[in-house]
Amino acid sequence: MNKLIIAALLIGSAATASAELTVDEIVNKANQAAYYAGDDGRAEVEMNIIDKSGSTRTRRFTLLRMNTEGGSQKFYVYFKEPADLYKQVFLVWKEVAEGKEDSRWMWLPALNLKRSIAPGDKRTSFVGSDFVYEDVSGRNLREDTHELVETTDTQYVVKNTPTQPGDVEFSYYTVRIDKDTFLPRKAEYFDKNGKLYRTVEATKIETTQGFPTVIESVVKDLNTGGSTVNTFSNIEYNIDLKENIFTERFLRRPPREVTR
Amino acid sequence: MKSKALIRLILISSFAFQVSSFARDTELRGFIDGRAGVRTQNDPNEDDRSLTEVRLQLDSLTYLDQLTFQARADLVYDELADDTERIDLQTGEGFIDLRELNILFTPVVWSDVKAGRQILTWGCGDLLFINDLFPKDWNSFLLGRDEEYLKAPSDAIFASFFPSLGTIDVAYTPRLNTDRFVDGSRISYWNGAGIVGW
Repeated sequence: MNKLIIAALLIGSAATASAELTVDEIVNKANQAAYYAGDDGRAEVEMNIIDKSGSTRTRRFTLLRMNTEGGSQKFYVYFKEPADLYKQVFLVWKEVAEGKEDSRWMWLPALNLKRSIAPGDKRTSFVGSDFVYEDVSGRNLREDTHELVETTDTQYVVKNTPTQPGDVEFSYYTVRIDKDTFLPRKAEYFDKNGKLYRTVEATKIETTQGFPTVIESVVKDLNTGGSTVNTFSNIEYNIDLKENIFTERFLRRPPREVTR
Repeated sequence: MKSKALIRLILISSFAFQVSSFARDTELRGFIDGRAGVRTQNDPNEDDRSLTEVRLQLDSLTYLDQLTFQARADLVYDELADDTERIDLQTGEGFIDLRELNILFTPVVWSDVKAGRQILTWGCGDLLFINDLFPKDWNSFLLGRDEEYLKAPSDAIFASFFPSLGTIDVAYTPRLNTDRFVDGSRISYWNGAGIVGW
């Protein structure tokens, strides 16, 4: 009996030891879990934008994502609804290397125009929702300093403080990360007065092809009382996307991967 | 002569709908857009109303194995039109404004070709089209129609080539498609001697 207790204690302490990750390891793993599953992927997204009074606007789009060299990524977002966004494409080339900036473009088919989105606008509303452009592809880890402020039985709580506070509207944000999947579950943004004003939450998670995947996320703007719910479906990983899809040619001629 | 500020109140209402996939690989989408504008100051040359119209835009895309066929047109009810019987696809006058009617195909892997009526743009800026000489509809822009109507359609063959060094686009317009200029019918202009409108 005693031996069993000792064995249990030993296992317990071994588990604790292996769980003692540094904050950088935690945020790296969380970043991988949230944005890098598989080599590439595809999902259908229904976005419901709900204002304070409860009225809802819906957007539907197909999202393609591909991991490229050195941790960089490319994203292709093809809008299907509503009619005024139909065939519009949001393209992101995310760059993680030091000194490089992400590039973002919006393809406007009725004007036959590729409009670039200035880096300074990356924290403005994405197609009228409570998500910002940067939420689509993820924030570069280098742009914040990270501090582990709390560890619970199931979660890590990391506080992120921007290195360039003038570039962003928040003073810091905290993220609760699940210990088992390393998926970020809830981010809370605090304004320059230290008041909580925005939350982003992963409300439903399912495992797809072995990857724990967020299938519903909710962002709330506590100042306006509005919220946006993203529901992901038809999720597929490792679909062997070609990198040339993420170029101007395929803005003009959306590929089968998004139209079918 | 005193120049007049043309300040307008514009009421816009839009309604969007879709009938997707009525055939296997055809998508049909569209919207209804109603707009009304009145001048807040009296203009001796122009109607008090700057805009009173309803348009139904239908956009259909058909995917075939080797090509994509697109047809997009506006059906317009315009209270201010002088002659509703006449249809001019060049100027967009009349009850139909044909925006796009083209086929897009890939003759070889390193090239795409779009032939037919289409919107052409050169540049990647906002509304500042410095180099862009493709037709524009200044009336639409100044009257307050949706941004997409700033571009007027072209009847052209547009070929893109994708060598490894970049992209080369060639647009061939057999017959000139002019801008839809301010001609005095909706918005007055200065002709050198005075303000003209009719």
